[in-house]
Amino acid sequence: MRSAYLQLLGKELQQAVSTALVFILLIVAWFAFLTTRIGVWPNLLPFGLGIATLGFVPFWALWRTFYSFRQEWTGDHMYLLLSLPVPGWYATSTKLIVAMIELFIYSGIILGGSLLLFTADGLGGFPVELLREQALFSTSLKAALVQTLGLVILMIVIQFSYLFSRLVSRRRGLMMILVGLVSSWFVFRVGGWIAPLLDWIPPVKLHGIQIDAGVVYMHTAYLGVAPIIGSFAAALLLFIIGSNVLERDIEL
Amino acid sequence: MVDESRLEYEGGHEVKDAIISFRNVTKRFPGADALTDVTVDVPKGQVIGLLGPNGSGKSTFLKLIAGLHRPTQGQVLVGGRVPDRETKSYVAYMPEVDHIYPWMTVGRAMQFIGSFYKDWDAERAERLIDFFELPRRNRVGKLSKGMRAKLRLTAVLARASSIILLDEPLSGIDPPSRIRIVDALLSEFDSGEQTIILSTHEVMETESLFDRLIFLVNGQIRLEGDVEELRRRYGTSVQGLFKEVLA
Repeated sequence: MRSAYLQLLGKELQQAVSTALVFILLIVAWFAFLTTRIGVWPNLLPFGLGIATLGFVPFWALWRTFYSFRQEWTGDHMYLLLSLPVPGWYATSTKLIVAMIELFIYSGIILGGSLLLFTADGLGGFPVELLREQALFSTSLKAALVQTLGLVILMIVIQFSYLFSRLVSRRRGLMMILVGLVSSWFVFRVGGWIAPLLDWIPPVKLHGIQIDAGVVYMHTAYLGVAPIIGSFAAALLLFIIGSNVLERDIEL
Repeated sequence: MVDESRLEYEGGHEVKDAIISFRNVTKRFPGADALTDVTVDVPKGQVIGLLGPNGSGKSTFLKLIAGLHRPTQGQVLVGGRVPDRETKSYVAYMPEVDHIYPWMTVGRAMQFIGSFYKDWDAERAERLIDFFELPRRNRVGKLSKGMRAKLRLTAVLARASSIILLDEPLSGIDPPSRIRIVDALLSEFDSGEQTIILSTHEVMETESLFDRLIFLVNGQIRLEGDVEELRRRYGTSVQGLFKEVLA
């Protein structure tokens, strides 16, 4: 069974390679272009445009989650997937994992490229020693983790909505939107209900900086993660239901 | 000419050693019934011809066995179980559509599919690839329609499955390829151990394969039984019966 899971994961990775290469080339080309704008455009504008690219990645991840199942249907490959003697969660989880891997790769390239632009643009007066500050590094990591968790929740909602929409033969788009809205409400509502039970989880300590007239001020803020973890638990429930719907209820 | 009145189906008879059973199965889709109150037993170790015009419910019949459809009413049992993940491990299903990923090479597709089934026979797969002259390194999407049909058939026949379901395996295939496909079916069929249900319009090429026939018309069984018995009873070939049932 382990081998079957790895086979599905390998298939998903192989299927994603060609599109991923195109995306990587586009991102690299975009950053190469921005590099040529250093010294031509106003200070830090190339960096700003570079880091702004990161804003598209979550939308891409949501689209990718939807599209990975859609292309199985449009290409008639669901006949193959649903004929395999494997649990539904094999297919649903491998698709999510590969979308996440792509997400990390694109984010890494964009962050790396942005850092290069930032450095090449003379850091815009940013005190370089702050880049080595442990507190800021850990804050960035924690913020990225919380955002990733939030994104995974939305990806599960999208996947669940799409699978559920395949249970009807007409107006699937409308069904997907409706299920998406209801399941989003469910996930965040349940997150709110569960949050008090998870109050024992300590809040995440985050640091922010402010540079005023060359003086660096550091702020500390606390982020309660109980509602996010509660929502994640609700999303896991949707994931289990969606995987079961795929295995037992969907017809071709 | 067959006497029309004699083609009346008397209802499903219980068959000893049935590996597949349909009990009062109705499959309803919005706007139409694909199958209506079908009761039939499929015996183990035979080649069953599933014949009928377009829209008669042949594909639905096979999908119900493969676990890709669920009956609206009634019950389908495969090896005594309601089709599920377990039955998929011993049911080999070839759909009419091209379900294998076009970006995979022939070799990769066989390796991928084979890795999920304990009954996969790699040597048999190699033999079939050679027999059908399938180019191992070519991408599936670059193969001709006939080649893709042969590949789909290879993916099914390479398994030592107890149940093999073939949905229109000869559809759109040129005559020489049809002969090769029928030859492959004849040579790879493990009589006594395997049960094949083959839906087709191409009765002429496949008549020699069948031990038993099920004629479906408008989602209902019109005629069913042992081929020899049907030939004897109606005094005509399977092709003749097919024409009469369709008439």
